[in-house]
Amino acid sequence: MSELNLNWLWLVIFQLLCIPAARAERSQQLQFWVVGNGIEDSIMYRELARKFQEQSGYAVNITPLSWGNFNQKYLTSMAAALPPDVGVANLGSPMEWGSLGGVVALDQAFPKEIDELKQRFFPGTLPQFTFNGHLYGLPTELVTAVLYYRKDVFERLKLTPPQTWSELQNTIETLEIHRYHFHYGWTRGEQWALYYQTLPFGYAGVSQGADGQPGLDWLQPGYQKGVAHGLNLWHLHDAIGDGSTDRTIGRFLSDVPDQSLGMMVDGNWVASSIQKIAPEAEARWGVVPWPKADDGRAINVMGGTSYVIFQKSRNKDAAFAWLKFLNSLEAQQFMILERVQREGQAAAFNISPVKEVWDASQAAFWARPEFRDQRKIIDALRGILDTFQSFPSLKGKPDTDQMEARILDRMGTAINRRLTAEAEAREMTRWDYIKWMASAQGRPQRDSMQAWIRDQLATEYARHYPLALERLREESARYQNSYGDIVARLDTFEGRTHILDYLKWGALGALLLGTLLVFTMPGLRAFRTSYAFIAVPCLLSLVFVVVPMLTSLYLSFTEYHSILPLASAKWIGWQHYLTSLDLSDSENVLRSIGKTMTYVSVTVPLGIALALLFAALLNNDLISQRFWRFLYFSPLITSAVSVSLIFTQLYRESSMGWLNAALLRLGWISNPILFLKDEQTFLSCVMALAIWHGLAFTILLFLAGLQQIPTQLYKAAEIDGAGWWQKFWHVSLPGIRPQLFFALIMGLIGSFQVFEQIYMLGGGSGYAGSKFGPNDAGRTMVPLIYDLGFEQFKMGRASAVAYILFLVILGLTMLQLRVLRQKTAE
Amino acid sequence: MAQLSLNNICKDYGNGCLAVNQANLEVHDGEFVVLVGPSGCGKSTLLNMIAGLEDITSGTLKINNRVVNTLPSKDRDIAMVFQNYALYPHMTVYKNMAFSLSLRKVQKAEIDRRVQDAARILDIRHLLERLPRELSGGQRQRVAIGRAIVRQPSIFLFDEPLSNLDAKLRVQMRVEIRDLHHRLGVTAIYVTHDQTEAMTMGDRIVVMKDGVIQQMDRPMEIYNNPANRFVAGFIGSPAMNFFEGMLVHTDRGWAFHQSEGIHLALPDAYKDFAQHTGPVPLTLGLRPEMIGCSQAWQQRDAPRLHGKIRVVEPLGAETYLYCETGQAHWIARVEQGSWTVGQEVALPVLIDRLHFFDGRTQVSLPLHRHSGLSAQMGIYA
Amino acid sequence: MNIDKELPAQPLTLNWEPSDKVWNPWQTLGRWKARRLVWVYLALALAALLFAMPFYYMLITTFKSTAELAHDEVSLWVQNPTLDPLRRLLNGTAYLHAAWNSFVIAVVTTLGNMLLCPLAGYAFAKHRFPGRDRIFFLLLSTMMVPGAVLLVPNFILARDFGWVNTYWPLIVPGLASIFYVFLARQFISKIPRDLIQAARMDGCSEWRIFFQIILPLCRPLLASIGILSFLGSWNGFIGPMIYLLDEDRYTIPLVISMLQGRFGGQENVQMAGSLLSIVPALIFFFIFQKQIVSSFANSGLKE
Repeated sequence: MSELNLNWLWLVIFQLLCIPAARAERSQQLQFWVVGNGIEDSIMYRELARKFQEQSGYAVNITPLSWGNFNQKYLTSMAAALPPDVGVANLGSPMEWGSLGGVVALDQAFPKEIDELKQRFFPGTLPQFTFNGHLYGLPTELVTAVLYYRKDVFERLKLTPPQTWSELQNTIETLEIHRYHFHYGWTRGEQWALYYQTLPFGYAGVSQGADGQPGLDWLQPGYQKGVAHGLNLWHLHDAIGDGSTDRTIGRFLSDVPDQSLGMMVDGNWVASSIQKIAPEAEARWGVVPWPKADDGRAINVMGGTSYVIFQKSRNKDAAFAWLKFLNSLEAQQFMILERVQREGQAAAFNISPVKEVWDASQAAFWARPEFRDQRKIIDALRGILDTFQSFPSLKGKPDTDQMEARILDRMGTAINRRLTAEAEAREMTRWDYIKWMASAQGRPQRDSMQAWIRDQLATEYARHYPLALERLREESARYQNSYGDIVARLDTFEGRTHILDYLKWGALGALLLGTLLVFTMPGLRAFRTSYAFIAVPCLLSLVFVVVPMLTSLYLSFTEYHSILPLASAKWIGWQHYLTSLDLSDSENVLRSIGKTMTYVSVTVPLGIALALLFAALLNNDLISQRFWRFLYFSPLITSAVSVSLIFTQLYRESSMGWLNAALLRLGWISNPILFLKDEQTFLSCVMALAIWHGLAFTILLFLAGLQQIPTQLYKAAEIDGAGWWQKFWHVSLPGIRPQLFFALIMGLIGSFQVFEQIYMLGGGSGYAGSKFGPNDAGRTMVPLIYDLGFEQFKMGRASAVAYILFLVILGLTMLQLRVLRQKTAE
Repeated sequence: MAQLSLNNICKDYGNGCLAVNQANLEVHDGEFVVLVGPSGCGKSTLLNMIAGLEDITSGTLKINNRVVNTLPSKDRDIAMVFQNYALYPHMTVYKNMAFSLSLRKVQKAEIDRRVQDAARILDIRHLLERLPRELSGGQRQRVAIGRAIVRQPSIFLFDEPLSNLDAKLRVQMRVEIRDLHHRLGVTAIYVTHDQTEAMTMGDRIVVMKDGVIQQMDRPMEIYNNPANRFVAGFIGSPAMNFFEGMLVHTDRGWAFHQSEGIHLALPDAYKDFAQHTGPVPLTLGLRPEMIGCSQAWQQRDAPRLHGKIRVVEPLGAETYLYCETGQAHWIARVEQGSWTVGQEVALPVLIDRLHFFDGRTQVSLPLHRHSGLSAQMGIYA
Repeated sequence: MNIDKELPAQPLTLNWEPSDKVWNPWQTLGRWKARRLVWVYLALALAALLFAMPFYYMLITTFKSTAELAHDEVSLWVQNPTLDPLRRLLNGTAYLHAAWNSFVIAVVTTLGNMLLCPLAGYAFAKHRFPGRDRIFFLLLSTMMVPGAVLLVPNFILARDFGWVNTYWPLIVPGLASIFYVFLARQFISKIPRDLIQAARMDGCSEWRIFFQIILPLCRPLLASIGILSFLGSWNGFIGPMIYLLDEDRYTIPLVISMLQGRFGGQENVQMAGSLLSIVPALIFFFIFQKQIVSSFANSGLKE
């Protein structure tokens, strides 16, 4: 092929690259996304979808999502106008998304049918999905906590099933005196779990005041009492194992061999597993509802998830039909049965929010043999269904929830430290100390500990209350100011040109101009082949670096939520930069830079020093280089995610935690260290992992460098009388100077970009609440950007933070280059 | 066959000075022209421009009276042998040689015939299936030449083809290339920085410096009548001795005087020249072979060059003496004898072989216009 | 900025055979050598234990049954090996699907880089054209922009192109990484100019020179670019996490990252996931150890 033809061909390919690929078309099926813990739910929904198709003719496609990233996935899909038709979301989401125009207001879209549908649910369950008088979602199921107790154990210990919080407290203490370990606590301050503690007192954390202004419950004594209960339960026990994600609150297991499980404080989820695991113990189990507050009010917790229909759905009627089907008696009963029949741990008892299911007319259903093992829980629940209550959602609650989660994280760290310190002062293990505190002797100690917790909590709440209240009100107002107007006139923004359009036209213009110049100017025409060769990298840099950088610069001066059209970005000047630098703001960038600096200043020098050591060791005439190098270099090719997953288990404090086990065995510690739950140790864990993972590359680099050094230099140094150290210092080190420099630069840049390790160790997809470690101890720069941009979808704020990161890295690189140049000049 | 004509060729890299400045050169059909000069003199650039590997900034380049300035090199009917052979490392010798022909869509049988022919000429038939890295330097050199031969070009370009070979092989290949040129009868342009190669191989030599052609003539013409001090110093080995001084008129006639103590009385033959030039600063050029040679010893009245031997280099047939007179250093090429370091010598100079250069411009000062020396010169021509 | 000076000029390689060319700080100690070497082996072996321990943990945990995990003691061995965790992993996730997706994305990206980067590197190294050095410098300076800074705007761009939930945003921006262009330029600038000129005189077009002369000579470079870009793409996490919505489009790291949520409390299944992602990589590494090691060593070196 002649040169000219190839050039033209190239031009065509090149222009084709510019054309964005066709929008991915989804099939015409009804798309349904499910948030769940296991795959069992998707299997169940697939079965339901089959039945639905038989009835209505609509096919439903089911996609499972995980708890950790579902919010990001839903928001991304809405932002990209690719959401499913129907989704299972968590509790707060319908209001959140509905207020941005992401999901359908059911009462507006289906005015005729909505009243009838509403009637089907227990009335206490709906306020949570209502915002500004509109209903955005429907509950999928209810979740509450119940107590399972071993009748024989309770009899032996002369205990009665606790009905109130005080009684629960006494019960637990008695169990602990009798050597029942508390397993699997919510040892991380997962904020949402507070509902179990505070709702019995009638508090939801935030409330709408009589004046219409949102208010915080933080300073209410009842609320604090509930939270203190929660903290006691989560921390003042020997929580072996860690926050298990199956919503088990806790199990009291005896360390006396055959006395086993004494009591479970549990969500109804894991209800059936005892029966499955130990059917012979079935008769010995009793079930009581979650304890009431001491004053006897019985407001029960509502957990679970909700169904929403998305605004972009192209087939809302089918979506609504699917929703109705899911809430039909047939579907509800199917779900209850299906969940009960699952194997082992996956089995659960599903509390239907549909009144009809519990109606006396359904006695035949409940009489089915499948429920043989469920009688007790069904009876316990029946009595409390009417007391299920939810509270209206408020804008800004996610922000105060975040702040509260941090308070709880800090409390948790402080309590654990005090517990460990006091135990060690008495030369006891933590577990012995807890037992001792529960005994009559230790009682005063325990009381003083609890009083201290209450005081600390009160102080923390008082300290953060004003800011939190301000943030709550600000946020409420911000939504109204920034988005309220836009959501009302959403259509007018849809087609409007925006910043990206201008930039795209600019880039396209530059591209065409460049092509035109090359093909017409005689001076350049001669070099058209050269330009063709470098065209793709130039184009890619233009489109994927220059254009985005400018977009980002613009966005950093605007308020923009990415569910909304880009044209709706609102210019607000330097505000994001100022907020990001404001120390009182919990998401301020300086704190993240500080954490990043800590991370960098440990991992980089330590990594280099260790790598030098191992490189010097490996640079010997070893038998089987291949073997040693395989051992040392293998982390090179492993993914950070997979490796981090292994380390999350190594860091545990349960039997799985090899690190703690080794330290205990060596006698260096007497109590397991709560590696990933203590905000002081979390970042260290990340750093250790990062050094382990990055070491291979640095060793390799140095080893290659060392082998480049001519042997004559060593011989010459030897003749000059240099010893081992002098040779290392005067020959080896200068010899691998480029590699040292490179390792430094790369280590620095890489460290600034650390993300996967923190994401995974922080629980990754496993937890709600603080995503990047306790009290967000690991929220360095990139996690902060990710959090702002893709969890909270504050694109403007995220851009501002990204720009600050960019400037910091740029500054550091310049500084390094200058230092290097000076050194070279010397 | 082909003739080549360069007319005011310039090359400007845009860095302030011209890499090639106003080069004019006519190469006749079948001629072997050597471009010689120190590195960076522009000889390779000039060659690349002829080859079409570099753009010509200004001037015209004609092959067979056709302007080829913008013609791609593959269409100029030329072949080039590169300094480091430029053999494609991933192709066998055969493929290397056949590559250009296959690009030209020459028939397979024809390619094979030509490659076999070239291989026979160069005696490399047994190497055809090897890879370049399996060959010795001389063999690679042959392949590189063979690759040029198969194309049957009308002009052969050589870019320092021998500089990567060891001394012995270089001498051998020198002869072979010359022989090949005779046999093929093509026009050839040969670039080298080695004056010996230039002298021995070229029909004509083009001496270049700083992008400018200094002199262009037959080898002996350049040796005997260098146009300036640079050419004089560059051609000839060991290099010509230069002494900076002036002509003085003494009571015994004209003499060359140098402040360090070199004083050479000039015979009458230089009288006209000296009178015309007068007592101005100039440079005397004296070839080492003119100092202390047998011919000079035979001349009774030959002026003597006084000095002290610093280094003795016996080469067998002859001996080089590195001497100094005051601060001035000079070399003499003498017959073998009992020379010792530190010895004070007074060597006779073959006086009718002097070169004078203008002290400022270093241009050769013509002698023959003013004297009867020209007739004597003739014997060396 | 003189980039050429900052980086090692020669391609770096490791010696694989024991040889006296390798400096041995202990060798010079004469008769102490053997004893010293024992200490070296000991130190290396101890450190290697630490290095390999996470992998060992992963290996044995994968084959432990849930019942065995429930035992409250650290055990360094599997009592009753079971394939149940692997079975549950493969049933419960679209793992094989994800492996295929990861593979497709990585292969396309890698091929793109292996073609486009040497092409541009060749032009920058061997061609002379107006603006060459300025363009190269501009391209290099885009490397200074950290990827994290581009997360948000690239998402908005991808959304605008309709690329969310497709592989395009994972492939296209990295199709011709500037870093590999830089590497290619470094490498190709060491190819003698004469070779290219000879080809030009032989009648090659620039395209043919690139494909028939340059590329065959770039094998070590291509291996480096191929290995580095494949691994980079294969192990990439944050991109797939942001852009991919449907489970049948997920990549392996994304699936792994969700195991903690999906198989909470089932450590063996989580480790089965890690095992399935790491073991093939280790086997690959074992086979192509030399090439991979020298790729990283020459890569000039990128994470």
